[in-house]
Amino acid sequence: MANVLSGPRLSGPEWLNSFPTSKSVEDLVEPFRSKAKSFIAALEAAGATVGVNATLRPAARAYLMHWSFCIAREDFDPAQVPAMPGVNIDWVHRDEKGNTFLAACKLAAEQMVQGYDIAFKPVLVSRHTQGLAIDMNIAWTRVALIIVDGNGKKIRISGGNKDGSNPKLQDVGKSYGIIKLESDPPHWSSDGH
Amino acid sequence: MTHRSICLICLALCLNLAAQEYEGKRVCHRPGFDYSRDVGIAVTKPGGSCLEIRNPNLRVGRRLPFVVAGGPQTSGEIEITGKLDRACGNGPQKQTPNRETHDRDAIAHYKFKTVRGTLPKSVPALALANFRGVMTAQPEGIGADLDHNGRMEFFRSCTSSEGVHITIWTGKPLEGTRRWHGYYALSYDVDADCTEADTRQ
Repeated sequence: MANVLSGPRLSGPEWLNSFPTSKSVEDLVEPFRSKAKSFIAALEAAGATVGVNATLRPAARAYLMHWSFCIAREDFDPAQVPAMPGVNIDWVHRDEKGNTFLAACKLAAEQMVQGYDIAFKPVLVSRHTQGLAIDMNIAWTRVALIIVDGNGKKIRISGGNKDGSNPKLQDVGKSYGIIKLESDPPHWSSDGH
Repeated sequence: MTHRSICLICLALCLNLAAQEYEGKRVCHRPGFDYSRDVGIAVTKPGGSCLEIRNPNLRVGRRLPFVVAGGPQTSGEIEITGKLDRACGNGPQKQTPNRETHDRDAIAHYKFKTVRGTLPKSVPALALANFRGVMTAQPEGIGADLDHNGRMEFFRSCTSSEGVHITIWTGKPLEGTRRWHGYYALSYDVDADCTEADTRQ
């Protein structure tokens, strides 16, 4: 409410700390949340270590990253950026006469791009923005990992890498509904995307 | 002194000199290019620079050529300025040399400065620790005979859903033999343009 009364906030680095990426499994959506919790619990019960790097990347964060990149690096007209509910940002900086001050728009957007540490164009929608993906490092040191799969069956994993790249572990994840995306080592999701 | 003793002494001397050469001191026998420990990922970020490489023996002042493999390919040179006790990036990076080599060393981290060329911010580049040859512009991109076998290696970079895959190929990228693969995690989602040949472990 206070935000509405005070009007939109101009784009710039002060937006960087808004809508941070979560590392909490609680921020995932159901039923993926429960499935992820069960898989992690099984991993930890088996003696594996699990480090969660990212769960929900808020859609608002993706919006800020995407459009700041478009304005700063692709000469997108800041006045044409679509609004997003819940993100009260004004991408258009103006001079004292009220005219669009394009250089200031681009500078503010570039500060956001650099602050977010962006080098490649971010997408607006992903499994992370939908709360359907989790990035986690999984590792174990035991000779064999004996883990209960989603069907209650004990699975022995004694060969291959002792991390999330192990195909047998990926099968166990699948039995919980947590699907590995092969191309990105830490990434698991509801459908492998 | 027996002939055998003399041979053993000569062998020990040569091995010692070869080890010294690795630190750039003098030449007895130049060790061959080793994909498992001579290739790393260098990146400059707002918080500083960072090189990840399976080579714990790089000293301050050591210069390494780099290749920016994405977009219009460029090359340059970085200089080691110190060792870091933390990982570089946004989560785990992964480096996979070709199958006939082994990961003998854990990944080491260094800070550096760019002394030639431009390393765009937050774009991971390949850094080469033991290459003193020439890089040339070829139709396939920047090429270099890394292992001095008369065949050119080429560099490639692409994005997966939330990371950058960097590869080295003998011959044309995606068609030749893949020699090295590295993964650099981004902390955000991007459009993927990698192929299976880029990303396979």
